[in-house]
Amino acid sequence: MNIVRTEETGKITLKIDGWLDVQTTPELHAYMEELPPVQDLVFDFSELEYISSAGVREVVAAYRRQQEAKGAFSVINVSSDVMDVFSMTGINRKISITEV
Amino acid sequence: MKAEKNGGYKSSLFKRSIGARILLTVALILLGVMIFLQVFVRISVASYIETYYTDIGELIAELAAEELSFFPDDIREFQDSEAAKDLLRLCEDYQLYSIWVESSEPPYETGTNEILLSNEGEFERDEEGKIYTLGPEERAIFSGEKDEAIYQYKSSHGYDIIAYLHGIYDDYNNCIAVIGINFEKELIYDDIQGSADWMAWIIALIFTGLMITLVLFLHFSIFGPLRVISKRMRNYASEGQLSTDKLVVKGEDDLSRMAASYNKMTDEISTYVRKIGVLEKERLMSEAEMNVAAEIQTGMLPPASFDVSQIHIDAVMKPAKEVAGDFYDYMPLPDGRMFLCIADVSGKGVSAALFMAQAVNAIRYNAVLYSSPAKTMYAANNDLCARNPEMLFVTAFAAVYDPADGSLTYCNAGHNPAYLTGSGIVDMLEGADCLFLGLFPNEEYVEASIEIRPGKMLFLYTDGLTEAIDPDKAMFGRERMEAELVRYAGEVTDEALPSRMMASVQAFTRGAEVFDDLTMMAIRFGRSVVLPASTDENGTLRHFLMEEEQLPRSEMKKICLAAEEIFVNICHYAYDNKEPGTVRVSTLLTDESYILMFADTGMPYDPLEQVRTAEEYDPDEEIGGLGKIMTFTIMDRQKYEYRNGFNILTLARSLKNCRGKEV
Repeated sequence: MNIVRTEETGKITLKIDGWLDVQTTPELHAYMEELPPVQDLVFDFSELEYISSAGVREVVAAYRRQQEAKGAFSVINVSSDVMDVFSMTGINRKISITEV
Repeated sequence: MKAEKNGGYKSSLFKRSIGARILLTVALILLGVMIFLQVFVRISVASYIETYYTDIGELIAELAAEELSFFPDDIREFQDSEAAKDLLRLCEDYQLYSIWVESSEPPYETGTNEILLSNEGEFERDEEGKIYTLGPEERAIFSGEKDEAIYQYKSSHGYDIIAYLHGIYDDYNNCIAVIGINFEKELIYDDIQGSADWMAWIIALIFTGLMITLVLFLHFSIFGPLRVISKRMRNYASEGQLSTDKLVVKGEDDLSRMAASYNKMTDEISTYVRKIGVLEKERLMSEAEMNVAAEIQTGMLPPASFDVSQIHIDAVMKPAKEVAGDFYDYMPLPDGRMFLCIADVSGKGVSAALFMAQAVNAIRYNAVLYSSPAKTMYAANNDLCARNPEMLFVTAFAAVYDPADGSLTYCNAGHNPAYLTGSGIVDMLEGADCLFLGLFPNEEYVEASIEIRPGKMLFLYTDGLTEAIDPDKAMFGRERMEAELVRYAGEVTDEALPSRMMASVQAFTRGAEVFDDLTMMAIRFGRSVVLPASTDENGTLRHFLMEEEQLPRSEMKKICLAAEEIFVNICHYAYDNKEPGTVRVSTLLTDESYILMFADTGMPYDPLEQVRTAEEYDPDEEIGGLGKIMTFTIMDRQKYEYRNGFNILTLARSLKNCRGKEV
């Protein structure tokens, strides 16, 4: 898994690729701890191949963080395999998640 | 009998009591006798009356003739004579209508030649006031043609009168007068009829008395005892009461002999019942012993359901009697391979079961010694031949599965062919057909080998399956079995093949008597890996799972997601920071399902408890808890067991919608 960060005014986009599972999610977690507050947070999953419940959990954590800070959060460019996982949990009804 | 068939006798009394039927018969006989008597009396009275008139008339005429030995010139003088008074008395004594006397020489000046002596009769006159002229009968008597005559006429009062005429003769035998005796027909007839009726009644009464005596005799000496016997028998038959008191036997008639026979019969039955009781007790004891024998026999065999590394075994053995001559066996060999066997001893019941015990052991220890199916069969055959006084024999199919290269080596010692199913194909395993075991020492046994791909299933059975018969003696047969195998291979089901096949056989036989033991064993082959219980190993698990090439990658990713969730769960909680254990993950791919199995030796824990649905999850409320929801959405069937110190979690994903989509 790799994280590529793109910054614009008031907006941070994190492009996460590879497999987001129990072994790699702690890296994302540590990265999020270091991330400064931002108005608009975007996860770009265009290169993400796999997400497990640990990864979903990190997505939910990011959503909650933005909710508390009254900021915006969205997940974009989700592949259908990964979208299936979000659909399964139903969180795509709460969080803005868009497919490729 | 006919009346009974038609339901004519509604009253159950007539059905039940012979006495009542006899009484009815007697009453009918009595009625018949009365009618007969009445008819008889009428006929005999009619013929009797004729002679009565004649006899009485003659008697009176004789008496009158004596009285009239002196016959007066003037007939009217006679009326005042003693003789006339005597005649009048006769008239009364015999209840006559009238007596009259007529002379042949009429003193015409007096206008009459007749005198009448009567208690009620009246003298008859013609129109001219003349008294009577001689009728033809009188003339015949006066002229000497006849002695007597009888005729009938109607009196002026309307009575039917029978008149008897008789002549009165002088010493020269000349007829000097005719005496007439008039009977009132009705009166005489009634009198005679009355006494005849009275006689008939007496006869009827005597007859009735006789009949009643007969009925009473029958009742007390025959029907009474019969009823006692029949009541005793009824009790005996209906309630099974073994009455110990005997019927009293008196005399030597038929009934006494019957009672004696009955006593003897009940004695014998009581004896038999006691004997049967003893036999039943013995039977129950022997049945209990047979049940123990059956338990021991079942105990010789491994469990009917078993999961070991990469294979899953389901077996069933159903004896025709308490104990069987069939058996199945499986056993991990010391080198990590798996030994599989099914066998059938000739015959059934106790002898077959004893020989089966010997065969199980001979095959089992030789399998451990030799590992190779052919060598095992060769050695087991020689062992069995050496100790087989009853010349029984065994057919057996033995195989060894090597998980390292997925090979199955097998040898068929005269047994039904084994079947390999999967991906819609049902194949027979051939090429290693040898002779059965137990009769021919040093027989050569050969083996053949086949590569088993994951997801295949091996099906072994004994001929009790194909030769199961329905009530019409039709056999279940190999075709029905193969059809069931094909059908099973194409279905999503958790049901084990042997129990499915057994249900199919039972539906076919419809409860017909089972003649042969029926044994089946199904072995499903899969892949497995053993990992240390550490989340660091998740990558290894993922690689193991993603090696599955027969399913689309997207499908395998979903399965990885579920597997990761369960694996992480076990890593975190099963071993509770004590010395790290291991997790064995096995997979099984069938035509319709992907089966994932986790086994760990950690604390007993059922992950299926408290499983929520996606609808119950709210990301605003909590961050975690999604894992289980996703896992059980992906793996749509789940089963948890804690067995032999193992947590065994089996998850299955139905592949109905993903097969052939993409690879």
